[in-house]
Amino acid sequence: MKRIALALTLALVVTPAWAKKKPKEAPAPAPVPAAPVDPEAWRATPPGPGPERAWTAPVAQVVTLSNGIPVYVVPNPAFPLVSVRLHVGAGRVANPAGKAGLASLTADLLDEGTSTRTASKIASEASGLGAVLTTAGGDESATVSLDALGGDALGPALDLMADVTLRPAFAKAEFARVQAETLAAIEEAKAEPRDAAVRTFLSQLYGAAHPYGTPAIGTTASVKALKVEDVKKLYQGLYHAGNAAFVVSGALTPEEAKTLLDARFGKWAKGAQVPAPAAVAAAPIKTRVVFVEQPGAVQSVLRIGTVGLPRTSPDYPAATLTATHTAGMFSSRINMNLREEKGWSYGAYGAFTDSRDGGVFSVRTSVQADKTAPAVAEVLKELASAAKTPATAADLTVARDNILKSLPGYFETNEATANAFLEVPRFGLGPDSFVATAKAVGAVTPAEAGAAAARWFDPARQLVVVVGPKSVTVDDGKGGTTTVDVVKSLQDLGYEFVAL
Amino acid sequence: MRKTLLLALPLALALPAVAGTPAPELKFEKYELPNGLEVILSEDRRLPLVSVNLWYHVGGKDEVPGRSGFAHLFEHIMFQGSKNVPEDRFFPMLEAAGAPLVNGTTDFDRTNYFETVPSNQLELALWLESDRMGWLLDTLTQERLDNQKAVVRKERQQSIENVPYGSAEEQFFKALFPAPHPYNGVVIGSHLDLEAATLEDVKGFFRTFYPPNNATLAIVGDYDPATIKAMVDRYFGSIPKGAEPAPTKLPPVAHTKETRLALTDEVELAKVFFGWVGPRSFEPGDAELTLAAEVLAGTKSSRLHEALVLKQQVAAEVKAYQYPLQAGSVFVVEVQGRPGQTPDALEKAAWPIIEGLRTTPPSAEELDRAKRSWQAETVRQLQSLGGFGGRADLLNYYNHHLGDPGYLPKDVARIEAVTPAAVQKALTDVVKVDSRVVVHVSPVGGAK
Repeated sequence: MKRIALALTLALVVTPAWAKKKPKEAPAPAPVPAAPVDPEAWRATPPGPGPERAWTAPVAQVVTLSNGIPVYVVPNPAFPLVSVRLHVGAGRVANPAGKAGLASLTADLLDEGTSTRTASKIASEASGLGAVLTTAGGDESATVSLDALGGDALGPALDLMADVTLRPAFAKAEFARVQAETLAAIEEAKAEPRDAAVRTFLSQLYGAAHPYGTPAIGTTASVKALKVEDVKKLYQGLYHAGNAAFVVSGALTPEEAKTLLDARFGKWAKGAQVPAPAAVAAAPIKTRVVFVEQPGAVQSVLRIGTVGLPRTSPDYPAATLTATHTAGMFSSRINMNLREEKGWSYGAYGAFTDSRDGGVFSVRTSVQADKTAPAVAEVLKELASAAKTPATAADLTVARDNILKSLPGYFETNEATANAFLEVPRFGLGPDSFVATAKAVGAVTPAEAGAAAARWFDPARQLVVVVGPKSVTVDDGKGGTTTVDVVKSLQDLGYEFVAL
Repeated sequence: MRKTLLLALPLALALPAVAGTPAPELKFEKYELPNGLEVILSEDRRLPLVSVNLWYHVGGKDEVPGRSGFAHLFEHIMFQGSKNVPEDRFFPMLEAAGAPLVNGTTDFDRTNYFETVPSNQLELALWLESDRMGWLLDTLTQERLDNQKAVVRKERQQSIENVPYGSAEEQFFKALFPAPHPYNGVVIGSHLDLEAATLEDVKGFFRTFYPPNNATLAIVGDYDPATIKAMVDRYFGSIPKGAEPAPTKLPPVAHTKETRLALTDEVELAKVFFGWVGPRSFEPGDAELTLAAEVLAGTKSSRLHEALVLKQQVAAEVKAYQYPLQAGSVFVVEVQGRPGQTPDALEKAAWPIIEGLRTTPPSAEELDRAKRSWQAETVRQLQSLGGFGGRADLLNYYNHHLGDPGYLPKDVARIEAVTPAAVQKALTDVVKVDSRVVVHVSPVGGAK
């Protein structure tokens, strides 16, 4: 391809050939007098890429507050906007045993009232400043997010961010209300088949005792048992300067970011270092099918996959590249098979989650209910084929281009940029994590990709979760109907079968 | 691919008015090719990316009864290949090029197609878009049509039928625009209509509504201003102009009595939808209702959230939005209950708050907060180049509704000029008991 030869040229001064002269007509076929030359014949050849413009992913600039909190800054003067993310190492991996949902509830309560502001006042002040302030608990992080206008409106917005972070009231009444809202959200999620599939997949893969085995929001039983004292204790233990980091993207310099944040967070006490809970390995699995009934559903939701790998693993680039090739693109076999060839699904995609300890690789799809078992078989067949037949160098080039050339898309907005760089404190990566990962993905060899495929796509080690109807009645194509026994057809696949 | 019906965030659009914040300029150039294709160019070279964003001025409104879902069906067919783009190569070519965004959306009034690509692949995007504009039907076979009908039925199952409250939303919109209004039915169409679509129907629809003179191409991002026009002309200039499609008549919708629906669904929590058909997009009342939605449910300090979620604690979630459309905007309030609540109880709790905005108009401060939120959100959206509400979409949005891609400063002024009394008047005109559509959704088996 031309790409390699042109990669070193700065693109924008080169005038493409067609702009200089009239396009050449396609070579005329053997002279058949009656056939006029199609003036549009040139369209038969797709245009190749133009010279590539040199670009490297941003590297965050690091400044440090007086109490040691690192601040990763990606300046972007294009718009009068600033996005700030505070990472606190207080995600669900920090939940004490039996207290699933605690870290998430704690994060949710931060902006529900402080020593000087009610929940409503926090929200009204933020909107009056054109700012959006949210708090959320994830796997590794509790995150306080601020998307604010730059300039004079930024200071008051940061005051609000500091207030919810440093002085949450954790009042009993607010705790009770948010606890009830959380329970309602858990109820609501039960009606959402995709949510049920994710929950089942995680608990089956990791086991209920593992922090990854229960969703961050918790379960009805675990959330009901939580007390406001639990929240206060988790906050006191984990929310401190020694367990925090900022990411900032927008219209300000690193020095300005440091000054603004130091004035508000510089006196936050450092607290005792809490050792990160040791990663608990998930037990290896043998392929089994776990069925959750969704009565009357017209589709079955499928999750098929296995335990993933830490974001910091040296195998991460090869695993990501091979997953992109096998399952991450529209043109990946799994999607082409289920969507385009069989027409059973609106789409089927697979990927690794980014995770500190392991996460998952999973293929996600919804398929018409009568094709549930055949679709499971096809996905396993495609995984088996990927595990057995390594991707060629050309295949990997497509997947690599898909990852690397779309990388600028992560940095179109301050929100996306700040969210992307949260991976630095979350997983303990360097401020050049995007440059480093791009380089590593670029260097993956076909042998490394093949080894990753053999390891993660092994059809004997996949967990299959199905959320769907036990049986479904469909047209038989002859004017009548026929009933498909979904459960039986899944059992007939020959793997261990569990109905929950 | 998405359909925007019901999911559509009414594009919120404007500039910050907080003191000291400079307004970003939205520079662009608009011109027209001899074949009637409108072109909007806006240069931005921060990243090596460029967005191609093509709006066809055809939507669910242009479908004839019994043939719902055509515009959306095309959204699928358009990605299947055309004369020079082999079958199933559209996405793969863009994936291999490293395009961060490729999609299309269909709405009542318009359909759009967009891709953000590395800037050295701009020609690829223009080649793909021009080939399907000019030569789609050359390769549209019965088999391809049947295949895409099947995919759309899957999408319908996945996004409506297998989603909590999905079917209720569908019924809600049908009730807002009763047959034979062109908006009746959902953008995605019904199973029956999709099944009935013949190859000739589909080809006729394309010939009528997809010529260059019924489309607008916006290109935003990193392109070479010295060569861009020649490039556009090369790919689009020779596509023949079509007959001007006769504009579909969009009669105003006047509900003269209340419409109520009570549905049960496989859900866990009760939910109530309130809806009204109001002024056409950008007509008086549209801006007022946009801000009224923000005052009612925009933030945790909004009236409905404060009353129902924080104080009475009967609702788990409240939502309000103004959805501007050419035949008449839709003003919607949604209240989702806490466990154990019934739709009746939710309606009783919510209605006095909604009505209260009419009897007690927003304070100057409430309205100011709503304006600040709206304006800041608009600037945030301007950051992204392309689809789903980014800059190219915004230029096309204003162009579609008003013929002026540069309407942004006027829109800012329009929102800024809204007074509490004007909000009150818009609510008095639109948000009435005898013109409302109320949909109750109860969990199967009663409130849990």
